[in-house]
Amino acid sequence: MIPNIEKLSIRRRKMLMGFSFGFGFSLIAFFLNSVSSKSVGFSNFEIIILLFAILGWIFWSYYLIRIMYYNKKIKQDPQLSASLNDEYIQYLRLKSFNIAFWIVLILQGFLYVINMFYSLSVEMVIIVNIFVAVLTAAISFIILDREQ
Amino acid sequence: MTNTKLKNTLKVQRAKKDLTQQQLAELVCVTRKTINTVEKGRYVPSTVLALKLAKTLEVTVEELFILHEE
Repeated sequence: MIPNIEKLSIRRRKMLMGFSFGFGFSLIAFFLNSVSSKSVGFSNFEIIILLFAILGWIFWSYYLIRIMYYNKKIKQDPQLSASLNDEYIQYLRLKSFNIAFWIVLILQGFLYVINMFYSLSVEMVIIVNIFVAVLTAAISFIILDREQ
Repeated sequence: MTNTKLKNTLKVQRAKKDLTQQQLAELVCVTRKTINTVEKGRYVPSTVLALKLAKTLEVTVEELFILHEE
């Protein structure tokens, strides 16, 4: 029988994976939409992108709500909260944010260079930055948190 | 120039007390994964955690964590 803390730790990891997948999925759809040519009405391709975006939205919204509910429940038990958010998890969070920071910084360099040859819209730059920042932090944490 | 590494006898001391990683984790209020990473030398615990581990295992911190100079 897996103890409660272990179960909750595994559940947290799975929810983060689900959130990352849905978030990445929906933002890829937004990104494709922003680079596709704008025309009157919806082309078949745009309809498909829209469906993917909606699916992705539903997916990551569901997991975001689950994560928020999970955090709220854990806060009700201070000892459980302290165990699940122990110093090692805090260390991994800091490391993940550190990785995400450097990757986003390097990304600005890439975008700057790309912009010299191809005019980038503000919308696309914002989407790419959000995509990379959120996913890099989440995926870094998932990788660092794996059993070694 | 010497290279200093931190080694630990956590696994040995835990075995002496017949505790699983999970049981030890619950006693010091951390996750089993934290105990695992400390045992494998992948994570250096804080002073507080080191003291908690020593107290729970009824040994001194110096018996639990050793500085090894190469």
